[in-house]
This record gives sequence, C-alpha cells and structure tokens, in this order.
Amino acid sequence: MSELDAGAVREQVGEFKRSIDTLRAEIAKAIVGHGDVVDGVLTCMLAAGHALLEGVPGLGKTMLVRTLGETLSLSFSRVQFTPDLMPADILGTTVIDEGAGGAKSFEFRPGPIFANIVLADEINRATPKTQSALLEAMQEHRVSVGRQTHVLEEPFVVLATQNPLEMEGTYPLPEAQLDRFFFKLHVPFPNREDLHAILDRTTGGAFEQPGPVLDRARILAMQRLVRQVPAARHVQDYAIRVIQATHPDGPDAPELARRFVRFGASPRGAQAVLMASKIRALFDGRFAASIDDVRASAFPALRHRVLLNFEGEAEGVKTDQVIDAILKSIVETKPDAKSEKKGQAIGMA
Amino acid sequence: MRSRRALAAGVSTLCVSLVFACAALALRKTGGISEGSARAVLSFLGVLPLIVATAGFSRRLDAQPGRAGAIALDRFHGLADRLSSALSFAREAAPTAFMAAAIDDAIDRVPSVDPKRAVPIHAPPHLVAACVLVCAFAAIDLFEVRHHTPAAHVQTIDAVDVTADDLDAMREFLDQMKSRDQTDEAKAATREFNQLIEDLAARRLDRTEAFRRMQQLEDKLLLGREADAKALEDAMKKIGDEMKAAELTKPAGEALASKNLAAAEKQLQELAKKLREQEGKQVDKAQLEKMRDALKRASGSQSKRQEQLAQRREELRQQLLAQRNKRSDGGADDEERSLLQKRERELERLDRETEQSEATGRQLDRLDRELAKAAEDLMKDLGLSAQDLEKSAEDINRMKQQEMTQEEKEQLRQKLEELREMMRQQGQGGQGQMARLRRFQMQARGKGGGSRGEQEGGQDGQEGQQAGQGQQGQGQQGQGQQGEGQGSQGSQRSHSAGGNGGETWVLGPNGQRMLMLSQGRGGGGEGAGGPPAGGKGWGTAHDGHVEGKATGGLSSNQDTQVAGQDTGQGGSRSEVIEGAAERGFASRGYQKVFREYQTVAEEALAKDEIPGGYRFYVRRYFELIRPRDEHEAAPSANEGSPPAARP
Repeated sequence: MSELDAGAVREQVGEFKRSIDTLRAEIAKAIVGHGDVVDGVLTCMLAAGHALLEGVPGLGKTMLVRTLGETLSLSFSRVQFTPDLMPADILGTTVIDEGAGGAKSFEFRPGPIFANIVLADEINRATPKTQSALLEAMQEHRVSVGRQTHVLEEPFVVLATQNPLEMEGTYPLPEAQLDRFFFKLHVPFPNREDLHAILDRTTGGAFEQPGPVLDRARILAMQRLVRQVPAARHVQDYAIRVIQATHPDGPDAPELARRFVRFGASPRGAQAVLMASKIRALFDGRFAASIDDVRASAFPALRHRVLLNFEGEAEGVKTDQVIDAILKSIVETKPDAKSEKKGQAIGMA
Repeated sequence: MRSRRALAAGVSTLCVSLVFACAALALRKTGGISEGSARAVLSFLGVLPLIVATAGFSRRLDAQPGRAGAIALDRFHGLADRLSSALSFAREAAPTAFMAAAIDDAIDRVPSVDPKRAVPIHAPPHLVAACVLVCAFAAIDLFEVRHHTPAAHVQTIDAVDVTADDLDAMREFLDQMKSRDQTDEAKAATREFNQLIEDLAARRLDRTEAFRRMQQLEDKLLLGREADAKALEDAMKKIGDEMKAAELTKPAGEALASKNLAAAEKQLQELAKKLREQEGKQVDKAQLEKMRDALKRASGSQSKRQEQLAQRREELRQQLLAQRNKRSDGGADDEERSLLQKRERELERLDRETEQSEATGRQLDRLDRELAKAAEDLMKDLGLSAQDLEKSAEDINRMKQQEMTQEEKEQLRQKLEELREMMRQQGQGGQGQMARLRRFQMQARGKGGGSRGEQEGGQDGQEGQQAGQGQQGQGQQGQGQQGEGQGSQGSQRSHSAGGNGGETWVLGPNGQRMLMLSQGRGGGGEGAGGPPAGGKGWGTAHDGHVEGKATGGLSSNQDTQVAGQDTGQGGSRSEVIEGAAERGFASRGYQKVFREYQTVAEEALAKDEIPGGYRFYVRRYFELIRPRDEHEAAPSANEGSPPAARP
C-alpha cells in the first residue's frame, strides 16, 4: 500500500460522490422526492443489476426511469408489456433483407432489449413466456436468437414496473425471474410537500428539462470502482447472518420468519445486499461498507427474495415485516472466531 | 467496557447474594441454622460478587478483541463502522488501496472520538435493588429476635395423692398409738410414721419417695423382731405347761400357758415371796422337789427341743446326702427323686424351725438360766431360789415389755402395709378412682356432693363448683348430726313464717316427728299469711309486705339450742345404715352399728377366716365406712388440695 494509492482512492471516491450528487440533482429536476427510489435505481445501475419498481399508477415510476435515461448519455428503450406481447417483440427478430444486388439475406433486427436502459413497463401483464424472454438478457447480458447470440452493450439495466392493485389479467413474475432483479423498490405516495412541488412543476409553465450528465464510460468506471470497495469481516458476517435468518430453519431466524417464511433469500440476495452496501458507502463518500449500509440495503434487496408460506399470505404478513424482525433480532457484534483467524476482508476486485 | 460489565455483573450478583444472605441471616436469627453454617454461607455470598466481577472484567468482550471498543465508538459518534472496519483492515496482510483509504479515514476521525462519552460507566441497572437489599440485610442484622428462654422450671414433684379422709384415719390411728404407754422405740417409730403421714398430707413426697420412706420405716420396724412372736409364745407356753406340773409353780405356769405374761410375772414374784417367807421354816420337801423338777424341765424344754430339731435335721441331712450320692450314680428312679425332693423341702423347713428356735432360745436363754438356777438353789437355799425366781419374773417382765413393743411395731407395720397397699391400688385406679373415693368420703362426712361434676380439686376450674357443693353438704350434715331429732324443714318453715314463737318439727326416737316449741328468732317480722290480729279464722289475703320487715335487734330474743336425747332407742340397723348412707357416717346410731360389724369382722380376721389376699380389702372397707367424728365432719377447706402440714 502506498500513500499515492490511498490518495488516488480518495480522489476517485470523491469524484464518484460528486458524479452521483450531480446525477441526483439532475434527476431531481424532473422527479420530486422519491430520493430512496432514485438511489435504489442508481444503485442497481452501478451494480449492473436490474430493478423492479412497484407502485400504484401515477406515482412517477415510468417518469423516473425515463428521466434516468435522459440524464445519462445511454440508449433508452421502453417496452409496454401487454398480454399479447411476444418474446420477439422484446428480443428482436430475423428478417429477410434484400441487398443492393438483390441478394436476399437474413438480418437480425434487435428488439428494444438492445439498449442500455430498458423500461419494462407493467411487466406482470405479459405472459410468462414473454417474461422469460428477459431471463437470459437480464442475467447474462446477452440474447440468443436462433443460433446467434447477441451480446448486450454495457451497461445494461432493466427497470421494470408493476402495479400491485390490478391483479386481474396479470401474470405474477416467477421466482426465478424475481431473483434476477437486484432491487425491488416500492414507490411510495408522495408527501404533502412533494405533492406541492409536483403540482407546481407540472401545472406551471416553466419546466426545466433534465440533461445528460454522465456518459457511458463514466458509468462503467463507476461500476468498476464500486467493486473495489471493501467490507470489513464483521460487516460481511452481519450480511450473511441476515441472509441466513431469512430461512425458517436458519440459526438466527426470528419467530416471524420461522412461522411465515417458505423460502429464504438466495446467495444472490447476499451478493445484492453487500454490493448495495458498498454503493451506499460510496454515495456517502466512505471507503468501506458498514452495518448500517447492510441494514438499509436489506429491504430492497431481500423483499422479493423472501417467499411467504400459505399461512403468511393468509395472515397478510408482508416481507418487509419479516426483514424488519430479522434486522432487529440479529446482534451486530457476534464473535466470529473464524474470521479472527482469517482476518480477511471482502474486496471484490 | 470491561469495567462496566464487571460492575454490572458484580452488582447483579450482589443482589442475588444479598437475597440469599438475608435469608441465611434470618434463618440464623430464628435459629434455623447454626452459627458456623451462617458464617460459611455469608462468607461465600460475600465473596461471590467479587468473583463474578473479576470474571466479568477478565473475560473477553463479545466482539472480536479490540473491536468492541471501536464498534462502541462508531455507534456513539455515528462513524458508520469506520473505526471497526479500519481495525479489521489493519489486520489484513495485504490491504488494498481502499482499505488504506478507509484506515486513513478512520485515523482522521480518531481525534474527534471520546471513549469516555462513548462508553460511560453508568450506574448498574440493579444498583437500587442492591441498595434496598443492603438496607434489608442491615435491618435484619439489627433486628434482635427475642429468644423466649423459659424461666427455670421449678422442680415440682408429682406428689402422691392420698385423700384427706385416709390421712385423717391414719392420724387417728397414730393418735391412739401415742396415747398408749409406749416404749422409746415404739415412740420413735410412731413419730416417724406420723412424719410420713404429714409429708403425704403436705404433698411433699412423690410416689417413689413415699414408697422408699415406707420401706425404710418397715425395715426399722422389722429390725428388732428377732424371733417370730408366735414361736416365742409357743416356747413360753411349753415352759408354762412344764411349770403347771408342780403345785407351787402352777399359777405362774397357767399364766404363761395362757400367754398372760403380766400374771406370770406376778405369780413368780408371789412365789418368790412365799419362798422367802418359808425360808427357815419347815417346808414340804415333796412339793419343793416337784417344783424343782418342773423348773428343770421348763428350763430344759427349749434346749431339748433344739437338740431334737438338730438331731432330726442331722438325720435328714445324712439321708439326703446318701440319696444325692445315689442319684449321682444314676440309679435313682422317679419315686426316689420325688422322695429326695420331699426330704429337701423338709430339711428346709427344719432349717427355718431351727433358726426360729435359736432366735427364741436367745430370748428365753436368760429365763431358762434363771429357772435352772432357781431349781438348783431350791434345795439348798430358798432365799437364793426366791431371788432367782424374782429375776425370772423380771425376765418375763422384760419379755412382756418387748412383746408390747413388738405388738405396737407390728400394728404400725400392718398399718404401714395397709397404707402402701392403698396407695398402690389408688395409683392403679387413676384419677377417676380418686375422684370417686373423694366423693364417697365427702358423703361419708355428710357433705353430700354426689354430683358427677365433682372432681378433684385443682382440676380446671371446678373448685368453685366443688365449694358450692360443700356448702350444700354442710346443710345436710346438720340434718345428719341431728338425725334422730331436729328437722330442718320445720325450722325453715317456722322461720319463713316469721312467727314470734319457734315451732320446730324434729325427729324423735324411732323416727317419730315431734313438734318442739321454742322461742323464735324473727320477732320483728310480720307473719306472712298469718291470721289477722283479733280474727277468729284464717285470713283470705295477705299483707302487702310479703317478705315482712327486716329483723330487728336481737336484744329481745334468746337463742335456744335444741338437741335430741340419746335414749338408746334409735332406729333399726337398716334404718341407721340407710340414714348414714344418705347423710353420712357421723350419727351415734351408726357408730354403734359400725362397732358391732367391725367386731365381727375383726374376729373373723383374727380367726383366719378371711383369706390373706382379702384381709386388706376387709380392713379397707371398714376404714372407709368408719364413723366420722363431729370435728372430722366439719368442712375441710383444703379437701382436694394439699392440706396444711400439722405441726
């Protein structure tokens, strides 16, 4: 370790924070409030993950995603999911193309998935077949059409929305599909002040349009920086214990989890929690993730990964209640002899 | 942090220790545990908080070493795990640039952290409870449990219970003994017996001590009785029979044979006087010869009898020895064995007779010698012979005195035996028997009290009832005393009438009711229902002052005491006995009847008509129904309670 390296890191983290603040400020031009949702979307983008936004209509979900696309110098596409939407409508299709010499050839016409930011609006209205078309793209960042595989350009972020009220004629996302989402963000109803601001902006004459503030290269650099952020062993251990506690037979599972949870979070959930914690540390200008970061990240990262059993569904238990009970039951400072021996910290380079 | 943890753990343990210490101290105060145990427990409980506090300080903190403080600082100062993470990164072998930056960032924050504020040593959560418990412990320690040490128990004895009536009977007997012309030995025995009775009356003796005293007294009474009185009498009778053979010694012999020692003494003295008077005169040699032979035989009868006994005993012993030898050889059959046993018993009997004869011989030895000397001197010198006979008379007198002493001692011993048997049986009968006995004795004294409720004095608050019954009994006693004369009902009637003259119905001889006229007491009262003054007939109404005026001064009145005359013509025996059963054993008629029956009983006892085992019951029966004297029948305030000792 050299003094120079630490200084460079300081510089990079400072730059990161400034970029994020600039981005936030730019988004705030169009989006009133919803700071946590904005941070969650940004976190997903920086973690190269995807976000599922859930909220009643009219809360600005689509607006948020569209604004994000406008603030970033990235390609943006929107797919309105409907029951008759076909996978090819998303992925693209191969068409016969007649060349200048009259020669005909098959040519792949990419679908809307081929964009840096994809808005999957009301994703639960599409059939499972169409929903499944997103699986490979979301996980592998590539699309296989016929015998050809098309790699998606980085960064690739799918931002899906769904309406929790209109369940008629919808197809709930399967667990495998849900697990692909880095975060599930609840878009809350704005408070009184935010509503005043919304009305002022949208019903008045002057409306400041957000502009691009970050380019693709900068975003990729930020994604790389995020993975260099370390997490102390006890912080990582805390995240692991939280994940274990989501399982009904876990060692630290609270009574609520033991009674109402059918399946707990997967290791992908642990990855999401820790990665989000690191990003949150950088948002705050810190050099390492903390337990508080883990706590804050646990809700959006785990709420769609914890599946309730029939009794839990019948009792109307929310997954956020289970996660909250878990976070309250997990002791922060549990001795970890193993970690003492290893003295290892996580640093995802 | 360790100090805080040690303090909290120590105070918590102190609370627990104080609870147990209070319990242990309370147990010690109340005598539940010993002093040693209490000290051990309190010592352990005192050391326990220190041990726990030391362990709490020594044991490592829950988090990784060195990190707990950092975490506490991070939490207090809101450092988002900067310090704890930096410490973790510092242990890395190859820290990354981000780790170095994190460490630098933590170092930058270090000056601003304040461990004292981050980990303050607050008052332990159980400090108040500990203080309360300390106060409770101090209060218990100061609280002095009063130990009710029972006062030294007065050594009381379970005094043997003898009824006052029985004691009175004993006293009466002893008074009779004292009234006799007693020897010093008999007086001493009587005095000791009297002391025993008074100790019993004063309830100074428990059962064991009473029986020991009685045994001691009986041993003394038996001490001087060397020979069996009957054997002595038999020997004297034989001497008398021998002396009856001569004309001169016949009166003395007859007196001896009839066991009249006084007459024998007198006759011998007269004989000696007669011999002295005839000294120098012509005397009938034949009579003197006969007298000499008679005296010789008389003096030798006892020794001859002893020789015969010794000879017979020796023969029997030889036979017994031979038979034993034969039996040891194995040749004896059942018949011989039976014979052997019979002879052994006879030998034992002879041994006893020999012992009696020897004892009798020792007492008669002097008389024998004097008689033998008188016989020898008779043919030589009448004066000497007369002197020997006088000595013989003195011996007889001495024996008579001894016999009298023995008789008195025997009477005392017999009474002592009765007392012992009575106490034994009353002890076996228990309180119930004693209560019945007392009730009977009160009835015997004419004090009534046939009520069931009458119990022993001193038992659970029944004394008042008993006293009330005693007063009632006193009235009945009055009837009993005047059984043949005065009737109380008539007297009461005349008094209630308040008449000027005393008209009294009394029981006369043969139970006839007689109207006695006497001057009444209640002169001042108006006659209730009496005839109006000047009227010819009985009135039909009465004065408004039914009860009459209060009795005036007694100056104009004269008390008259009326008593029945003993004409010797009382009621029949059955009437007397029935009356005595109802009113007590104090009437003269009853005394007479009692003596008649007692005489018959004594005669039957003397003739051995009553089996030995029943003699006590006969005597006891007559003692219980004996007539009570007037002074004896007077109310005894201390009946049922320890009577006062007589001086």
